[in-house]
Amino acid sequence: MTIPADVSNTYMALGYAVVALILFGIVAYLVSRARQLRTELAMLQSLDNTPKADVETTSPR
Amino acid sequence: MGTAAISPDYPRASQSAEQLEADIVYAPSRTRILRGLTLVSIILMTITVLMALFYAGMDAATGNVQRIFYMHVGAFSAAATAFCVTVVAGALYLVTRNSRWDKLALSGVVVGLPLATITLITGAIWARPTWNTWWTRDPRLDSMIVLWAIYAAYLTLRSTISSPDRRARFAAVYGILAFVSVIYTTAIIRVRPDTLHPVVIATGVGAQSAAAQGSFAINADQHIGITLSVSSISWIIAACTLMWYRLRLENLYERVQTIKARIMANE
Repeated sequence: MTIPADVSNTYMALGYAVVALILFGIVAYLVSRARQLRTELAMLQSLDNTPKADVETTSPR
Repeated sequence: MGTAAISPDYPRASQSAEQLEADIVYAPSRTRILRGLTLVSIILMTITVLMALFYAGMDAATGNVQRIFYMHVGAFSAAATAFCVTVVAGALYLVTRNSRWDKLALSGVVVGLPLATITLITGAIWARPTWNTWWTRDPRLDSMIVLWAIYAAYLTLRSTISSPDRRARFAAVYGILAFVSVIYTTAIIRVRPDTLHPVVIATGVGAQSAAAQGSFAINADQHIGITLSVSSISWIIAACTLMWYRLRLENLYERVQTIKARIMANE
């Protein structure tokens, strides 16, 4: 059995494209989730360090 | 106010901000190692792709599609390594009850599962021109899809248990038992005589199933063996790097949840 060169090349390209896409997906997930958590952390830390009296006077009733 | 109102999910919420900070801040040397590992992973993966496309010889019968194997085998090696990390970390959690091992075990599955997905999809793409089908009933293919489902269920299991201690304990035991599917999937092509899947790393006559279709002769060309070795090492190092990042992400998440729980308890 011999696979024609154009068919073989097409499937090879498809395979490498899928690998690149999934690896990109893993890295993009890690980066975007880390950014999101860091933003949330900075917000929470500023809230956590705010004295109780300040929170009570500035928070909406 | 007070510890009674603190969520049982985040028992560390009673700790001071300084204590939390001290627990999670990483030594600069570790961050440097991680950055170095990231650079090494990128360089090795680039070398792997270049070797797979230009250095390794082309198969006379199947042509260039055979080059998919360098990604397919590499991704499986990396996934198996990640799942092995889950086993070791799970066992260490059961012995020490330290939550850092549970986080490492989770990182193994979170990284290993997409790598197993790469193995499945690249295998199907290779099979289409070689076997004239994307998928067929075959012992190796069946065991691989079962492996994938077992590790997907690991994540579902974790999401259904709310108590952190119970979740970690169950996940550790499950992660250890789930590794049987990795051993089974690796061994099946060497045991069953009716599998279509070729044995890539075969030693001795008879290692290949009689029904195997689509050869991958590692001994046919010295370049093939070298490229496959470089590919497997690169994928494993890349998986370790990703697991390390995933572990840090889990630490960050825990920190956010702990501060959130403390703020809510103080209100």
